[in-house]
Amino acid sequence: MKLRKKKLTPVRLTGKGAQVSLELAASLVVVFVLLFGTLQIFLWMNKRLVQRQQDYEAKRVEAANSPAEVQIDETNQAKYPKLNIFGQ
Amino acid sequence: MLSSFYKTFSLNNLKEDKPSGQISTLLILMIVVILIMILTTVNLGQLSLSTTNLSNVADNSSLYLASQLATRSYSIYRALGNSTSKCQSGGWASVFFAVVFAIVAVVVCYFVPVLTPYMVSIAAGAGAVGGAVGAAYAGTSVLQGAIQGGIIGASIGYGVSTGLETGAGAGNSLAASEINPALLEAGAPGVTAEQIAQYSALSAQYMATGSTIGAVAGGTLAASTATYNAYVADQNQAAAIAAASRMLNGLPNYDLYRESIFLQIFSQTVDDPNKDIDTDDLNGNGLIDEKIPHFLNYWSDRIKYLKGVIPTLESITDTFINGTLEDFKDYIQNEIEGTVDESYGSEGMPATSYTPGMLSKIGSEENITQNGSIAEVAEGLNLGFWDSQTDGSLEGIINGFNNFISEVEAIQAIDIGRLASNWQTYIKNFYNEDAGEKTADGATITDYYTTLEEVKGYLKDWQAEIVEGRNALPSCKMGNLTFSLEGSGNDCEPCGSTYCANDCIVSSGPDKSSIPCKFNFTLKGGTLDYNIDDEITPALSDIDTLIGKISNFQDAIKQYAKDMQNTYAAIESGYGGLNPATYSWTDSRGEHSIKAEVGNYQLASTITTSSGSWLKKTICVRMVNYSDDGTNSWVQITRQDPKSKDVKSGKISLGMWNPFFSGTITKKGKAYYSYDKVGLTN
Repeated sequence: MKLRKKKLTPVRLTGKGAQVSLELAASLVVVFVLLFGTLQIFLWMNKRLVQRQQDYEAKRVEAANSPAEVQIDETNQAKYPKLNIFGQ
Repeated sequence: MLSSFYKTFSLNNLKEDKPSGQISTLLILMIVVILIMILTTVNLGQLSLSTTNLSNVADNSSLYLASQLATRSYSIYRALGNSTSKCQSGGWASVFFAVVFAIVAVVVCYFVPVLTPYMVSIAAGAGAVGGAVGAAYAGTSVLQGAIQGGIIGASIGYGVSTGLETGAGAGNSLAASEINPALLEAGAPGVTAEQIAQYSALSAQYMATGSTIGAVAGGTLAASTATYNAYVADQNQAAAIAAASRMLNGLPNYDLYRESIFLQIFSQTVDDPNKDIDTDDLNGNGLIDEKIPHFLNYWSDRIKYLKGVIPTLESITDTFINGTLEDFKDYIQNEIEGTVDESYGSEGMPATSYTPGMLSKIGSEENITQNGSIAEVAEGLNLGFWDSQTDGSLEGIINGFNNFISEVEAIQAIDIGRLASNWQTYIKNFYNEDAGEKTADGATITDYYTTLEEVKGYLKDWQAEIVEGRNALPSCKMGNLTFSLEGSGNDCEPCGSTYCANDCIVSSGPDKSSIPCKFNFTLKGGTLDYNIDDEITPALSDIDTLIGKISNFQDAIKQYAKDMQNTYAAIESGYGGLNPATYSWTDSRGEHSIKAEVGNYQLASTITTSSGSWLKKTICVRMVNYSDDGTNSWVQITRQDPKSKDVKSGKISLGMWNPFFSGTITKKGKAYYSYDKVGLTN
C-alpha cells in the first residue's frame, strides 16, 4: 500500500476561516465578559454613589453635632453590597 | 477616506448581506455603551459633589448664623450676671422706714430725759432697724438697708440733738431780750419776785420754743440731707442700669447679620469667571485698572444701597413709633385710667374732676374712682364679661391692654436708629405674617395684630351680651316730671305710656319702676337707675368706637410693615432682592444663579420693665429673643445651572447639556441656638 503525501496547503486554506471564527468567537466572549463586568461595576459604583449621598444627607445633623467623626456604616450588606461581578 | 470610514463603521454593516465591517461596528457600539456609562458616572459624581458642596455651605452658614446669634445672646447673658434677666429692687421703702423709725426714736428720746444724751445712737439704731425692715419689705439687701437706715437715723438724731442745743441758745437769747438775767443774778434793785417768777416761766417757755424750732429745723435738714443722698444714689443706680442697657443694645444690626450670611454663602458657591475693571478700587490695593471678579461689584452696589435706605427706614419708623403707636397707646391708656381735669372754682380754689374712660374699672388702677361706661353696664346688668374668671372678661382685656402699654413704652425707650435697623425683629411682636402657624414645639405664633383681632371678637361679644341683657330687662315705667309744691322736690307722675312729654322714671308710689329697665322708645336704650339718662346706648357706642380705633391701628401696623418693605423695592429689581438674594451670571456653559435665603431670625435684645409703687419698685432688664429651635434660624440655598442646553461648536450641535436634570439643587440648613448652645437640627 502506497502512502500518499497529504497536501497541506489546501487544508490550511480551508481551515483559516475556522481559525478566525474560533478566535473571533473567543475574543467576542472575552469582550462580552468585559462588557458585562464593566456594566456590573458601573451599576455597583453608581448605586454606592447614590447610597452614600443619601446617607451623607441623613447624617448631616449628627455629624455636625457629634464631637467624634461620624462615618457611614458600610458593613451593612443590604445597603452596601460588595462588588461581585459574576454573582447575584 | 471619509467614505471608507463610513463603509467600515456604518450600522448598515450589521445587516446580514453586508460582507465586511461587522465586527468593528459592533466593537464601536460597545465602546459607545462604555463611554455612556463612564459619562453617566462622572455626571452623577459631579452632581453629588455639587449637592454635597451646597449641603456643606447650607450647614456651615446656618451654624454661622446661629453662632453669631448665640454669641450675641451669650454676651447679654454674661452682662446680666449669667442670667436672662436682672432685676433691681429699689424704691423708697428703706429710706421711708428709716426716717419714720428714727423720728419715733428721737421723739421718745426728747420726752424721756434719761435717753436724750444718747439720742444720736438711739436714732441711728432705730434708723438701722427701719432701713432693714424697709429693705426686707422692698426686697433689697437687708444689710445695705440697715446701713443706709443707720446713717439716716444718726443724721436725724444728730440734727435733732444739735437743734436742741442751738434751740436752747436761741431760747436764752430770746429770754434775755425781755429781762436781763444778769440783773436778776446780781439782785439788781427793782426786780421783784413776780418778775423773777415771770422770767423763769418765760425763760422756760422761750427755751422750749427755741429748742423745738431748732430741733425741727435741724431734724428736717438732717432728714432732707439723708433723703437727698439716698435719692442721688437711687438716680445713679438707675443711670447705671440705663447705661448698661444702652451698652448691651449697641450691637450689630439685623441687616449686618443677614448680609454676612449671604456673603458666606456666595463666597463658597459662586464660580463666576467674569471680571470687571476695578475703577473704584474695591479691593483697596490702589490699582484702578486691574480686573476684579464681577461679584465684587455686585456686592459693593448691594451694600451701598442697603446703607442708603437707612434714613428712610428711620423716618418711617419714627412716624410709626412716635405717631401711630404713641397715639393708640395714649388712647387706650386714657380709656383705662380716665382723665383728671384741674380747674379753678368760682372762688379761685383749685378743683379737680375725674372723668372715667370707657374701660375704667374701679380696682384695676389706684386712681380710678368711677366705673366707665362699659364697666357700669356690665356690673349693672351682671353680664358674663363682668366675671373676671371668664375668657374675654373686662378685667382680662384691661390687663392685656396694660401689658401692651408696657411693651410699647419699652420699645419707645429704644433709640429710633436701632429700632429701624432691627425693625424686622420687633415688628413681629405687632405684625407677623406667620401668625397662627405652629412652631416646632407646638406653640402658636401670635402677634398684637392677631390678638387685637381676638379682642375685637370679644368686644363684639360684649355688645351682644349687653343687647341681650338689655332686652331681658323689664320696661321702664315712664312719667311726666312735675314740681312738688310741698318743697319735696320733683315728682314723676306716671303717664301710662312708653313715652311721655316730659320724661322721667317713676321712682315711688304703686307704679314705681324696677331698675335696671329698658326704654321702649329706643331700640337699645335702658337705664341702670332712676335717672332718665341712657347708660346702655353709650356703652354700645363706646365699644363701636373702640373697635374702630383698634381696626385703624391694625391697618396702620400693616401699612408700616408694608412701607418698610417697600423701602427695599429697588433692591428687589437691581440688587438681587433683600431676602432671598440672588446672584446670576452667564458663562460658556450658560446661565447660572445662586439664590440665598435666611429665615426670619430674631436678634437677642434687652427690654427694661418697671413694676411696683414708689415705695417698693422693681426695675428689671430682661433678655428677649435669645434662643431659637431652628424655626427661624435657617439658611436655604438654591443653585440653578443650565438645563437642556444645546452645546455647540460653531454651528454644529454637539448635544444637550443636562438633558434629564432640572438643573436645580436646593439645600436647607437649620440650626438651633441659645446663649449656651449651638447646633444643627432637622
